[in-house]
Amino acid sequence: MKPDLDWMRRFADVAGLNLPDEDLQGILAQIAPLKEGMARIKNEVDLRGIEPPLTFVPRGDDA
Amino acid sequence: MQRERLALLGVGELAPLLKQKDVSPLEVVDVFLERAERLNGTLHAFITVDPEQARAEARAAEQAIMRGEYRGPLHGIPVVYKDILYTKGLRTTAHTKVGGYEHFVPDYDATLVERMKAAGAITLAKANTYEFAVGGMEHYGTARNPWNPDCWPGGSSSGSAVALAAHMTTAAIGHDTGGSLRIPAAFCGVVGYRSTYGYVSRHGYPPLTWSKDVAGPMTKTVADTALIMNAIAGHDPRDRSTTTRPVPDFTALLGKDVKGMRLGVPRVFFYEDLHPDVAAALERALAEFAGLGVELVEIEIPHADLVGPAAYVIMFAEGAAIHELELDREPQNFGTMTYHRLEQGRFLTAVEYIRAQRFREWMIRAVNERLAGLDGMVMPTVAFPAYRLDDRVGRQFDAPRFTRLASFTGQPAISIPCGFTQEGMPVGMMIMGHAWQDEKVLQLAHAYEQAAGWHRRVAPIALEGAAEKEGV
Repeated sequence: MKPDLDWMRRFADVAGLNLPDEDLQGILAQIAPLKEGMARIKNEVDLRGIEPPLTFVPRGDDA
Repeated sequence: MQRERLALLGVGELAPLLKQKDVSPLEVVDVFLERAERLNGTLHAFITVDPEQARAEARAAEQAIMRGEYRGPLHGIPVVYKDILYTKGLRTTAHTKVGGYEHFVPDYDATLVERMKAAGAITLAKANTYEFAVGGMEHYGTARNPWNPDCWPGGSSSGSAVALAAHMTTAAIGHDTGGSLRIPAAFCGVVGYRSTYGYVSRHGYPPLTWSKDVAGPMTKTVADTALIMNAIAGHDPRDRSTTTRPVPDFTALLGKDVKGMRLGVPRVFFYEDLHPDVAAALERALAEFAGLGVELVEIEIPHADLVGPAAYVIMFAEGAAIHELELDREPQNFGTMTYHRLEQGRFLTAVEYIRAQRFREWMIRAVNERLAGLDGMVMPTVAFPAYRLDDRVGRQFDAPRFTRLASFTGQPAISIPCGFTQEGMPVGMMIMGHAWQDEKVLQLAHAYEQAAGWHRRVAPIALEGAAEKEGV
């Protein structure tokens, strides 16, 4: 999924964020590569059987 | 000893002079206050300096030492703290005007600061940083690189690295979410150390990312880093992420032979698209390790290029959650870069955040598999040297390309100087190790540092003024 300005406007509307296009453009420039990378993780990395960490401690005492 | 020479010493060299009463803490603090007067207008290393408080702490240390109550190697040592760490009675701005931070004077110390003070360290100044450790430096001046003030010092622990490289302090404390201890260390030619997540308390500073923030030492030598880790590491009941395991002696393996130790060399991704001088410096460093008897083993970290987006998703989702009320109520008080970086977290979905966390778990397993039988791995800290200030924006986002991995997996990583470019800018090398085996990372870094000797070079600006004054 590659977001564009129209997607940003619709997302902001649904999320209740009242942001001018100027800010949406600035945010879009940063978030577009993240969304692309996350799509690649979904499609290229086999995450089956992998749970997220149960706490915010990445490995804590059981690293 | 010439007064200005005191400024060039690290903790390990200054501590014996203080212990033996050859030098007084007040004398040392006065040298640094004079240097702050002379250099801070150019370098913007510090946001806040309180000479009276620093002198008062120095006097107290001096009196205690004279009474025979020497507390150890940090007693009487001047330290600067990244200006997100709360310091009791001393303004803490987080380099922002959001949330009243502009005039915020904490009534308690961050746990790390509390422990440094308990060890006898003197608070010299609050060091410049990116806004909330994530954005720009738009409110309190832009820190500049002592090796070339037209160049960026790296961040977000910018002022801490600048102060060390310009010898405006003996030691410094920074903080790292995706590389903020190590990148400025690499760009400024000093040591930056991110310990295993869970060793150092996060209590007492505004978080950027709960699950990745690590505060820690920035120093002139690896041994100084180990000394500071001995003071600050350990469980803190005010931070549930801190470990309850016994705290090791971080100096224990320094000076021990590294012959027979094994380091992974992840050529794919981590040695690609390097500035030619960085590539050359790393090859020389690998040869140095080989000369020390360290076995180098080529390894490959799978999907390393995907750590960047996943790490940013976690950082900005958590960062936006942390700053949600301020983003709603006072967006105009954020710097533009900070605002856009944090606000993007609200455009991420819960599924993307959880996918990033699952990928994190996947990557921890993958890295541990590749490191099995090895003592760590070695790579450049940053793919390029410090760049010019006007080339900042794109490069700032690319600087953490290699440092993100340790932040993502929670493993320890250190940046140490490993050479200079033809233009005279420092190059940093990173050694990353197994979780909870920090002593081995420090052992390897110390062995290289002592063999190569890059840490002995002094930025010319650090000698200006001093040379005129004392013929240094």
